[in-house]
Order: sequence, then C-alpha cells, then structure tokens
Amino acid sequence: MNEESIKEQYDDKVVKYFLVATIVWAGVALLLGIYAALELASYKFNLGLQWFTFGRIRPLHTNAAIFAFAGNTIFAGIYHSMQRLLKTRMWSDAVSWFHFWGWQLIIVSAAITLPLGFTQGKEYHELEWPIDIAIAVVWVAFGLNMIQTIRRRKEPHIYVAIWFYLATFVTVALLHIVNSIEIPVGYLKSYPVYAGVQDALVQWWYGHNAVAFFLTTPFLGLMYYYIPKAVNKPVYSYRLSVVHFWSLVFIYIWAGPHHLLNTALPEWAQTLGMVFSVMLWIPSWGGMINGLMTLRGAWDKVKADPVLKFLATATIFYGMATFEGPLMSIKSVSELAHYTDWVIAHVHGGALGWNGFLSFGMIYYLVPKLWKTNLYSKSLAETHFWLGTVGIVIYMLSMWTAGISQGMMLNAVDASGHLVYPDFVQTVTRIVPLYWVRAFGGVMYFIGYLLLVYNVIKTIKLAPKAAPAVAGSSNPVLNVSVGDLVKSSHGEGPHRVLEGMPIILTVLAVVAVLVGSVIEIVPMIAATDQSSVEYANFKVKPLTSLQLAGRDLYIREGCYLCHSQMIRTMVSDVLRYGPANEMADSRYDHPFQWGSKRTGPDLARVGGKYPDLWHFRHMLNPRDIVTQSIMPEYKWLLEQKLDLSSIERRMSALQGLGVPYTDLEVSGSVEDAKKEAAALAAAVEKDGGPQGMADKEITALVAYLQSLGKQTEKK
Amino acid sequence: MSKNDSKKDNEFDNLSHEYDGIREYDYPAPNWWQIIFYVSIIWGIGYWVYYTLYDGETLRHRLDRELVTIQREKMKEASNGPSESDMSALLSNPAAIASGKEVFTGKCLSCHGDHGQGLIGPNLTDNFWIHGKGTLTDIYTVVDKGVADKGMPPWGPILSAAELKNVVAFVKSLQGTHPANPKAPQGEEIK
Repeated sequence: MNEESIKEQYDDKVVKYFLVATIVWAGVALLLGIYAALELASYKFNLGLQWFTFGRIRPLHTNAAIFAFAGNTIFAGIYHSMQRLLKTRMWSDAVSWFHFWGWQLIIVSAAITLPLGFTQGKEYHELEWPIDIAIAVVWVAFGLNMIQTIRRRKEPHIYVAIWFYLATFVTVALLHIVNSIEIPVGYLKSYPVYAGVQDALVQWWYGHNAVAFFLTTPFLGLMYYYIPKAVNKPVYSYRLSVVHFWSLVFIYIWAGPHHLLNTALPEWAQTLGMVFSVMLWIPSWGGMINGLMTLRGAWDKVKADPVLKFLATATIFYGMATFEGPLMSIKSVSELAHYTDWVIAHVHGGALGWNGFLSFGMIYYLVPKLWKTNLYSKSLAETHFWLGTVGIVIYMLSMWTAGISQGMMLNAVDASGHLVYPDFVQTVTRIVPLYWVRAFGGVMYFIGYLLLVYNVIKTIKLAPKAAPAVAGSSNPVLNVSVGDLVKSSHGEGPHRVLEGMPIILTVLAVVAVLVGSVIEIVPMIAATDQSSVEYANFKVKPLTSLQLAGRDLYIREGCYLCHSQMIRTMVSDVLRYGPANEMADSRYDHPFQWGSKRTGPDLARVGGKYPDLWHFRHMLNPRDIVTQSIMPEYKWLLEQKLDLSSIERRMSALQGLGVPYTDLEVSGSVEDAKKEAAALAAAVEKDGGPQGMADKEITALVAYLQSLGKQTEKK
Repeated sequence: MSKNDSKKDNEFDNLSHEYDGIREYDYPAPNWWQIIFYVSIIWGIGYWVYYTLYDGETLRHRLDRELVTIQREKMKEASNGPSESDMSALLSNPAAIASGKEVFTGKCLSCHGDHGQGLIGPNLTDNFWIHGKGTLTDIYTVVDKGVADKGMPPWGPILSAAELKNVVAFVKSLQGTHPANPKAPQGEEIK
C-alpha cells in the first residue's frame, strides 16, 4: 500500500468539525472575557440583569475558554496528528462523532445553566451533576477511541506527542471523577461529599491539574507534532523528551496546595505544594527547550511564516508562565500575589499566549492542509500575530501592575501596627483604571482573532471541490512482540521498548500521578474525620435552614468569585478581618467557599460586623454604603421569592454527609426557616428598612452573611 | 544554520526514530538545566524536612510572634490614650475638626447620616446617649472599641490615634445642630 492510499483513509472530516468548533468557541470565550473585564471596570455593564452579572459570567468565560476553546483545539489536533503518527484511521467513526457532538452539547448546556445560576461553586468545576456525568461519559469515549486506535497502529513505537495525549486522558478522567463525587439534591443541584479543608484540597488538586493535564500536557503533545512538521526539522532531543515527560507527569500532581498557601490547610501539605511547584520549573522548561531548540538555525523561516511565529511565541509564553508559576508558589511571594490580579495576569499569559497562540498556529497550519489549498492571506495572519502579541502584553502589564499595587497596599502595616490602607475600597479605586486598560488589551487580541476568522473563511472558499474521502478502514492490527521491539530498538534501552507498549506506558503514567495524589489527599481525609484532633478543640454549630438557603444563594450568585472566606496567617489579614481561620471554621461547608480572588474584602468573619439593615441597603445599592464600591446591585434578591421547596432534601443530604442536624431540624426545616425569616424581616422593617421581605431571597442571604464567623466556638 | 551546527547535528543524529516524517535528534539535556533540576530537588527535600519535621518556624507561630509585637505597640498607644481635656482642646481647632469631618464622611456617614441625623445607627446630634453620657471619652470608647451587639465596628484598629481623636471631636461638635429628618431619640437623655 503506498503512502497516498493510506492517507485517503484518515478521518479528516471530524478534524475539520473540531477545528471549526475551536474557532467558534474561541470567539465566544474571548467575547465573554471582554465582557467580564468591562464589568470589573464598571458594574453597570451587567445592565442590571442577574444572568449577566459578573458572578455568573465569569464561570461561563473560564469554562468556555478551557473546555470549549482549548478542548476543541486539543481534539482537533489529537485526531489529526494521531492518525498520521500511527498510520491508521481512528478506531471508530461512530465514537468520533459521539465524542464531537457530545462535547458540543456539554458546552451548550454550560452556556445555558451557568447564567441561570446552576453551579457547584467550585472553580472550573461549576457544572452540575448531570453535566458532570455527561463529561465523564464523553471523555471516556474519547479515551477509548484513542487507545483502540493506538492498538491498531502501523508503527511499532508511539511518538512523544502520544505519551502526552495518553497522560492527558487518564489524568483528566481521574481528576474529574474524584472531584465530582457529589450528592444530588435536585435536578441541577448537588453538594460535594467533601467539606471544608478536604474539599479545598481536592478542588485545588483538580483545579491545578486541570491546568496541568488539560492546558499543558495535550498542548505539549501538539507542540511536539506541529513545530517539527511546520519547520520540517527533527526534534532537538529525544532524551530530553523522555526525562521531561516523566518528571512533569510525576511532579505536577503534587503542586495543587500552592493555591492554598497561608490558609487553614495543614502546613505540611502547603509546604509540599510549594516545593513541588519549584521543582516543576525545570521539567516544564524541558518542553520549552525542546520546542525552541527544534527551531534553532531556522529563525529565518520563523520570520517568514506566521504559523511558526505563533508556535514559537506560544512556546516562549509557556516558558514565561512556567517560570512565573513556581515563583508565585513561594509562600512569601504568595502573600503578595494571592487573591490579587497578579494571578489573573499569570493565567492569561498561559491562556492567551500559550494555549491561544498554539491553537492559532495549528489552525493556520491545518486549514490549508485539510482543505487542500493555500492560506488566503499571509499578511493578515501576520497582522493577527502582532495584534495578539501586543494585546497580551497590554493585558499582562496592566494586571501585573494592578495585582502588585493592590497586594502591597493591602499588606502595608505601619510601625505602630496599623493598616496603612484600612479601607479595602481604597485599594480598589486605585486599580480600576487598569481594568479599562486590560479590557483594551483583550479587545486587541479579539480583533486579531476576527482576522483569523476572515482568513479561514476566505481560505476555505479557495478550496477545490474535494473528491469524497474513502470511508471505512480495514487496516490490519499491528502485532508486535516485546522481542521484536527490543530488536527494533537497536539496544536504545528500556524506554524505547516501553514506547512499543502503550498500555504499560499508560499504566505507569497513572501510577506516577497516583503517588502524589494519594500522599496528599488520603491523610487529609483521614485527619479530618469527625473525631479528629483538628476538630476536637472546637464546637461548630451547623447553619440553620434559612442560613443554608442563603448559602445556596451565595453560591448561585458566584459571590466566591470576588470574596474569599479565608483569613490567612498574615498580620495584615488578621488586622483587617480578624483572627486567622482554623480548619474547624469550614468543617461543615459542602462545598468550601475559601475563594481565590479578592475583588472585594474577605467575608469569613463578616457576621455581626454590620447591622442587618446595612446588608439590605448594601445589596440593594452598594454605593449607598460605600460610595466608591464597584460591586453590582442585587435588586432581584429583594424581589424574588425564596424557594424553600427542596430545603428539607438539602438538609437531609447534609445530615447524611455528617453535618449534625437532628431529625427534627430536618423535618421542621421549612417552618424554622419561615419563622427565622419573619423575625429578621420584622426587625429590619422596624429599623426603617424595606417592607415585606420575610419571603424574599435577600432575607436568607443576610441570615447567612450574619452567620459567617459566628459558628465556631473554642471549647 | 552554521557549519558548526550541522556538524553537531550529524553527531547527535544517531536515532532511527521517524513518525510521519518527524525525526528525532538525541542532544543531551543542557547542563544548566540538569544542574538546576538536581539543586531544586535537593533544596525541596531539605526545605520540607526542615519546616515540617524540624524547627522551621510554622506560619502560625510567625503570626503569633508578629501579633505580640503589634499588641505591645498598641498597648503603648492605649496607655497614653486621650483625656477629656486633650480632646476638648480640639473642639476649637478648625484643622482637627476638618480632619474629623473627613473621617466621618468616609467611615460614619453610611450609618449615621450625612449630618449625623441617624440612619442605620443612632442620631448623634441630640442629647440622648445609648452608651455612656456623651462625654468625649465616652464617645472615644465607643468609636475605638465598637459595640459588637449593635453592629458598630471598632475603629481603633483602623484609624490612627489622631484620626480617632479628631472624629470624636467632630461628633461632639454636631451636638444641638438639628439637621433635617432626624432619627427618633434612642437611649437616655443627658441634661
């Protein structure tokens, strides 16, 4: 069989579909990003509509960027490169199409449910339980398709790109499933089985490694295919790829706790997260070195070819982000950077620079190849590159400045032990101008993207009417024995043999990621069972049914995206918000709400700090209380009726998870909530507040806010 | 590409690997890369062991130590806290009153109204007092320590010593100003 006839049998149709989906969702993700950025510059951009408010748009933006844009990029690139690297068609067309349409359906369901407020309240894991199940099913179908294709390969060994694809598949499956163990309490509502510090650790083990195994390893695989293809030169170092693959996979999984530095997470785990993050720097740079050194001696080609420009610059951004990440994971740097826009700058360097540019490079490479024509306009692609690059630089510079300025202001304590900037809002007004600059950088990046869309459409129109591809494939399965492999490996050592045994390689990758996972998570689950010493010194009152209903509203509105509930072990945090939080403070919190960004102040001890009426007026219009506040108005909370129809089921689910509710509290939850709400509303009315609030959502939310920091007592 | 490069390429072009036209050289990993990797691993193990198993100061200990220092500073400040006469001197000091008014606008207005007429919090212009008898030191105590049950925050940790005194003087200066829409009297009348 000659080369041509094999090529005929590749399934490129599904690749084209994934590619088009990539382009469409990239536009959605970028537009949502610009919109969210404008909402931070001025709260008025939500138009007073709950569905468009920052707390609901931000999860949609992150989900669209990660799972829709980057997700479809990964699938397009994997389906295209894998068939060629293995010289065989994908195992099952039916499964490929199930994967394609299933994934798009999941994205659409996210786009509907998130603005409506259906969310689990855990970052990048917001989607509710039925969608979680769908993700697991579609993801496993993708993995099955991949593994079966590998088994039918007509190459004895698998290339480094495919090692990365395999590690991606198994680890994302593990992360997603473990972080999705939750108890449904309605069609679109659930509580995670983990609480407080356990939930925090599991969530950031997931969140950090979603970055590692959804935004890093698959993209490294794509880099290993598209850079040498586009430049037509050999990969720099095989040895380096072996070392950096295994060290990356093994070390990455440990680094999750660097999202929880200086919190109530036990310090042994914080320190583990920090040191593994620092160790991660060099394995990450192994990938960058291999990508850039492949281009050495060919910089004239890079200069002339927009595809190579995007791929090379993406690799440089990868190098920047993977140096910055370990730096920010050092405890003392985290004191400054955590909860600020520095983190936002960091992730966008990765997302716009590494993931975005690598995707664009791949699109400019693939579209002419797949549609068998030439790119419509090189100079438009060139313009796209420069608009995008300048856009990212503006974005990152503005957010670095904002984050570091605000971090320094918030942490400043004078010699007499007073906060230099005691009012949180003082630090916010200082950086609002930078929010406009950031939005401008985003718009530039988006205009570049529009040029890509135009260029791609024009290119496809240039395409010759293609002959229908030959469907189906009857390639014989490749049977290679270990003995043959050793022979064909020319004594290159055991790893070369392993590259002929993809299942064993996959199993070893699973073992590599399990080591760190088990060592960090198992002790935390064991150490925080109900009788543990960490909890023994404290008496923790569970929330009343009304407060619980308010907490669910707090999650629905995405309050955790701008407010933390974690006073860190730092003087400035303690002076500003009260004593540092203990593990016991969130003992019964399913899910935890420690947050990751303080656009507004911490709320861990806000309970009782202000009168009830203060909160009513503040939610109605924050600027009545804090004139310079940038928080949106939550008028609908004073209009919408509180839904108590499932509160009994929710209390009973939590009771099952170990929250010490009595049966009477569960069965009487509706009555109790109504009574408590009536009393609270009457008191507010008496103080001259709004009338008739007893059955409104606001009353539950205020009851919850007033409970914060009041539930724990030292024994 | 320089001649040197291609000579090197020949040296490390010793693998038969080829996938879809992609070949692999086998250059060694750069020395600096390897050295930093080993150093970071050794440092990582050392750091973790020192801070977890040996005497490395924990974050909570460090916090407690730093808070003790700050507490001592504050005690010093509290022991030379202002007296009635200290603050009454400020009443005739326009700069102090102006500074007090600025603090009031930033911190107190949202609950006590723009003219001290009362809103969420009580009216500050009448001669009814809930906590104490309306002396400067009584007002100072309320502002400094707050009233937890009533939602009055303690401003001691937030305002500087001078700002505290000035805002107290400003509040005292509101006495008997009769602003529009006053909140009904609360507490005890002091004649």
